[in-house]
Amino acid sequence: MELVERYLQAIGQYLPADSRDDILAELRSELLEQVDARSEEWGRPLDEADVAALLRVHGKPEAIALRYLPQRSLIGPAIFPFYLFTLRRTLPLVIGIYTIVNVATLLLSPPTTGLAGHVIRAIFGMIPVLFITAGIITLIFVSIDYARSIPSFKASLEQWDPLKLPELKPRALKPHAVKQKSFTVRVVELVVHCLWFLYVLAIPAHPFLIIGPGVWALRALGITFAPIWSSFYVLVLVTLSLQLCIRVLALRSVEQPWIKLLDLAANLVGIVALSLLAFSRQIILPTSSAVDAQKLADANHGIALVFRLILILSVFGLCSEAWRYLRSVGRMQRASLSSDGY
Amino acid sequence: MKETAVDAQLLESLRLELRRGCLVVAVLAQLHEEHYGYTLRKSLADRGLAIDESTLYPLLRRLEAQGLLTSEWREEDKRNKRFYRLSPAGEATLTQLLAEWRGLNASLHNIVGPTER
Repeated sequence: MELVERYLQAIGQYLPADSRDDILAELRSELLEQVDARSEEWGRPLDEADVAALLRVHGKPEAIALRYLPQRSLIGPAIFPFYLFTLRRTLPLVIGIYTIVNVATLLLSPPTTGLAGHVIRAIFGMIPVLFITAGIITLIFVSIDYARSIPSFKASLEQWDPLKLPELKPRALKPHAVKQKSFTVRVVELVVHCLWFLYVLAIPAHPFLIIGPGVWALRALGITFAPIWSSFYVLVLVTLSLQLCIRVLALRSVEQPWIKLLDLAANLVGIVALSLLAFSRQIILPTSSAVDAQKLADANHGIALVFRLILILSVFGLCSEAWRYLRSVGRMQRASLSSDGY
Repeated sequence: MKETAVDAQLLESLRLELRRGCLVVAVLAQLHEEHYGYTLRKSLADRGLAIDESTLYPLLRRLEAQGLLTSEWREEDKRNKRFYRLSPAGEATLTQLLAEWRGLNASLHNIVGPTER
């Protein structure tokens, strides 16, 4: 029965020393009983192949040993759902912050080695950041799980008061409800937008409408707006036109799918307009040779930086809007499928 | 009528869950009489409750560690065997578990009904 002993030896290497001999003795007794019973049934002693077949049915040594070991886990089932919840909430947040920081760095100080290289480095740089974040969260939860074995801490963790639960959010009361503005408010919004549109249309002929006495100050300094402002202005008009369409459509209902799409399109055009200025080297130009070229270049750079910051915020605003829109579309599709009885 | 496919893996997992508690009751009940592992397994199988060795032996050790069983090594048929039987605490626990099981059984009978679904 050397094969049985080899099998027991293989199991024994995974067992704790204090109970190993006892467990193996019992298993040996069981296996030898089985060999005897099989031998009696077949009317002949078992050969090595027969014993091997019997052991194969009994189970792999590691699996057998595992049954005798206490269940171990870094984070137990009682707090594992909270661990998973925290990871799901934190990692996208870390990705968002990391992306904002990298995009801001890219926009405020353009790389000298090439954009593609910078982007690839940033993407690969995100991997250790995510691992470290996940590691820290895991360590925190392992500590909490360990602390749960301390009775006083466990008792304090399990204390809760239903009366202290947060108030119901409006969405929870009426899912997917869109706040409908009154017709009067929508009419007022349309009128205000038309006035705003007219004001913007009047700006090229009357620049003081937007910068006031700054017009005369610019003239005195020997500075004027660069041609890039014309392209910017055209895109602003496109944005305002799209917003006008939205206001007109909204007179019927704000729950039309076209309204959200037009809103996203208007925001996108606005971002294109901002990026024209954010990446332009000439936002203001000299009208006289008396203007210090270095100071003008610094002023152009400063103005471009301000537009880049606004651009970053606008891009994230648009991404967030688009994400919300896609989620609401997904929800509506699921609702429609479930109402169809699928 | 649309036929519903049964998820074999899910069914197996639910079946094991259902069986787990019953096994403890069956093992405790069977150990009113003294048994060693092999004969215990045979007697359970003869009564329709087959249980493999890799489940039974760790369960016996756990029940003994919990004070519900006692065991002793003895030689029988020229071979050392470990004999198990219910401890006094095991007897008391089994009585309560059986009462619980009978209550559950009666409730399920009321819910599911006398005929098989």
